[in-house]
Amino acid sequence: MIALPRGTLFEETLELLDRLGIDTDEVRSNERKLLFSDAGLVTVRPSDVPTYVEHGSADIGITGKDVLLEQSERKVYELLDLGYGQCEMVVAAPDHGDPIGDALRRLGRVRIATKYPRVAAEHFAASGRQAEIVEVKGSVELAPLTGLVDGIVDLTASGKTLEENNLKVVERIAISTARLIANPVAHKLKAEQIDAITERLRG
Amino acid sequence: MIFDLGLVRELGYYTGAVFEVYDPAVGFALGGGGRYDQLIGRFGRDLPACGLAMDVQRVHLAQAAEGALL
Repeated sequence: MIALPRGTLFEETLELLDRLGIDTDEVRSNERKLLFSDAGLVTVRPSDVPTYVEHGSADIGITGKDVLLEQSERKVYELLDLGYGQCEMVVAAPDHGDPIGDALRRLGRVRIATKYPRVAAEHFAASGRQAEIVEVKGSVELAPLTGLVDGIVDLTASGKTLEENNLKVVERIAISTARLIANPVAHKLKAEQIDAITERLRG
Repeated sequence: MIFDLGLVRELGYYTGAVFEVYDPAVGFALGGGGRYDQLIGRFGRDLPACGLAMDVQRVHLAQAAEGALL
């Protein structure tokens, strides 16, 4: 069973499976169906892929490095960088002045909104700055515009959404691409099959 | 039986071979163990040893999946 991310990586992931000779027609033609037993595929939210793989409901899965960074406690093997879906985890702030620097100078701490609380907390802790992390579930760009926070940590591909909301990238945290992950038990018991898939995807 | 030179166990007292037990129905190792020739010596008596521990709940899940409990 392979766990696929129903999100921005979905289309390219299906193309990848086509190249492996896996039949994705049913997945493409049925947006509401989630489990495709015949093809050995299950479609889940990108952030749920590590969950399904860790528990062995799926032997392997594909998800973004951003998800794996945020869920670093998951016991899964990261087998391969698939290269596609590239985007960058950044710190962004309103493009006038230096809101993050100002907050740190005046208050000794900065408020940061993000969908990635662990990545954000670790980034600021690693650079010796006290950050108050405000977790939001969507439209992170809105948070600094309303005065909720001084800056955000978010994923950006083109920078367009940031620009539209008068935000600019002030620090770069990590590059994220699609990754192939495996359940540790499946990786042993189905080593031949998983190695074969990994080799074909590597080439 | 799978021979795997890449297997690592988290406990630091192993001195030789280590092993884990898997079942296709369970996503986690059912248990594991290995050789620990110096462990008992730390408590006063030199005695080479080998042992393992199994997670009873996971073994139960594996048995249930094989229909062994019916």
